[in-house]
Amino acid sequence: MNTLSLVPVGRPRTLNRWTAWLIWRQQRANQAGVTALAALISVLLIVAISELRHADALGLHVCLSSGTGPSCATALSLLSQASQQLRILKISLLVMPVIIGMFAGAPLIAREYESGITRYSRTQGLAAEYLIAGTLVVNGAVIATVATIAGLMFNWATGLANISMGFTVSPSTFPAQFPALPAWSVLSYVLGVACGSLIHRTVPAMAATLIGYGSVLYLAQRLLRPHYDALMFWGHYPHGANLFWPYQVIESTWLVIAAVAVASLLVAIPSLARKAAWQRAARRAGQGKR
Amino acid sequence: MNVVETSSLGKRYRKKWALADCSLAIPEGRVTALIGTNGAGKTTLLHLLAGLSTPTTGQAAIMGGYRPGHGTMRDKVALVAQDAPVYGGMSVCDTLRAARGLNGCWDQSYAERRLAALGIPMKARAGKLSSGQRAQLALTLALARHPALLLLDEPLAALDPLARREVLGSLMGTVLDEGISVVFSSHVLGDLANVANYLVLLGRGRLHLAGELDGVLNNHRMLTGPASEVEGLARQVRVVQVTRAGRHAHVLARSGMVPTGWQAREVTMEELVLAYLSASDAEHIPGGSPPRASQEVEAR
Repeated sequence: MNTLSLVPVGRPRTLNRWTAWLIWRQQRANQAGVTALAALISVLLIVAISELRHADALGLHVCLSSGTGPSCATALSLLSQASQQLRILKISLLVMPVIIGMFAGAPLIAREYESGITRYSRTQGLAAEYLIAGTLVVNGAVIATVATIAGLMFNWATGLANISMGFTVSPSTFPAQFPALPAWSVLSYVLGVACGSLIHRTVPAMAATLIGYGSVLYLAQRLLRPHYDALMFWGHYPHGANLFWPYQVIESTWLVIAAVAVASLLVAIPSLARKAAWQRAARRAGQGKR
Repeated sequence: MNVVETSSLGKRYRKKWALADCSLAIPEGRVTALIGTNGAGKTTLLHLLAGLSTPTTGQAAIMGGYRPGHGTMRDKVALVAQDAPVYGGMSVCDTLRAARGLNGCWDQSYAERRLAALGIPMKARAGKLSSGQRAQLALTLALARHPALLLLDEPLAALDPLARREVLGSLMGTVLDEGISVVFSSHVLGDLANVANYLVLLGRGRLHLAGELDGVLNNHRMLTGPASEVEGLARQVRVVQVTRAGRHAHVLARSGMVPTGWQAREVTMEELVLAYLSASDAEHIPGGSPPRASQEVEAR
C-alpha cells in the first residue's frame, strides 16, 4: 500500500485568504501601535498647523516684515508656540522610524524563536518564507501609508512656519518630511525584521536595529547626501534654488531600493542557506568515507 | 518506500555532537518508537527530519527521497514538537483558522469534530488550555493535515497517566485508520510498547539499535549460566549487558541460538531497552532484525 496515494493532494502551498487573515491576526497589534504613534503625531501637527493658519490670518506676513499691526502680539506668540511644538514633533518624527524598526520589526521573527512557536509555524505546509514575505508587504504598506500621512502633515506645517523664508534643505528636518519619512520608516522596519531573523532574540535584535539604523543614517549623512547635487541630472537648478524636492526624491529612491533589497535577501537567504547546509553535510559525510 | 532514511547523519552544536553517525531506514506504515535517555539526540533527529534544522554531516531523506523540509513534501510531514507549541494568544477557533492559512491540505471539519469529541471549547485561549488539552490541540493540528509522516516529540511527557492513555488511544485510532507512518519519541518505552512495531534506540547521540520490534526481540535472549563462563560466552555471542548474581550471571545477548551450558528465555521490550540504554560503553550495535529494507543501511 502506498501511503502517498492516499494523501489528498492539497492546493499549491501559496498564500490563501486564510493566510491573509493570519497575517492580519498576528500583526493587528503592531499595525495598531504604528498607526497610533503616527496618528498621535499627526493630531499634534494639526494643532500646530491650525495655530500657524490662525497666525497667518492675523497678518503674520506683515508682522514679520514690518513688525507692526493690530494683532501682531497674538500672531507672533502663536508662531513661537507652534515653532516650539514643531521642534518637539520634528524630533518625534525623526525617531519614529527607528521606534518602528525596534518595536515592530525586530520582534517579528525573534519573538517566534524565543517562544518556540517556530517549531510549529515552520513545519507547516506553507514555507515560512511565504508568510514572512506576505507580512513584510502588508506591514510595509501600513507603515508607508501612516508615515506618508504624518510626513505630508509635517511638510505642510514646516511650509507654513517657513512662510517668510521659503523651504530650505535642512539636514535635521529633511528625513522627517515626505517622502523621506515613509522611506526611512519602511527601511527601518525591514532592517529590524532582518536583525531578528539573524539574531533570534528580541532584545539583542532591537539593539542591533538601533545600531544598524544609526549606521545607515550616519553613512547617508556623511557619504551620500554630499553627492546629491551630482545626482541631479534631470534639470537645471540655479544657485540658491529650492532643492527640497530633488533631494527628497533622491533620498527616498535609494532608501526604497535598499529596503526592497534587504527584504528580498531576508526572504530568499534562509531557504538557500538550508539547502546549502544539507549539501555541505552530505559532502562532509562523503569525504569522511574516503 | 522508506519514509525515513538517514546515512551518517550528524549534528554538532558548538563542540558537542547531539547526534552522530546515525544511519537508519524506516519503512512506511510503521509506528516507530524512538527511545533514548534525555540528551540522547531524539529531538535533534526529529528536528532534522522535520526540516527545522540542518545537519553538520550526513544525509537524510523522507518520503522516499526528499530532503527534509523540501517544498513538495511539506504538506505530507507534520511535527508535534515537545511541549506542544501553539499560538498561545489565539483562541482555539483562531488556531484552526491559522492552520488553514498555513497548509495547502487542511481538513477543517475533521479538526472541529475531533476537538468537539475531546470537549475542547473553540472559544478558549490556546495558551490557557490544560497541558493535556494543549497536547490534544497540537495533535489535532497535525492530524487535520492528513500527513503521511507524523513526527511526535514526547507528546506524552507532560501528561498524567490517564491523559496519556487518552492521547495515545485517540492518536493510534487515527494512525491505524489512515495508515500514517509515525515516529514517536520518548525517554521511556512504557506506553509505546503496545503500539510500536519498529524500534530505534538512541544513546548519547549514537544509534544503538534499529529494527522491526518482533525481529529485534527474536534476536535477543536472556541467558543464565555460570558467572565464570561469561568471557567464553562473549566469544560466541554479542553480549549487551551482564548482571552478576553470586556464581550465576544473567546475560542479555544478541543471538538467536542458545550456547550449551546456558539457559535461555525471551527478553521483554523493557529489558532490552534498559539493557541497551545502560550499556556503559557506547558501542554501536547493528540492528537486530533479519535483513530487509529497513536494514539496508546498517547502524555502525
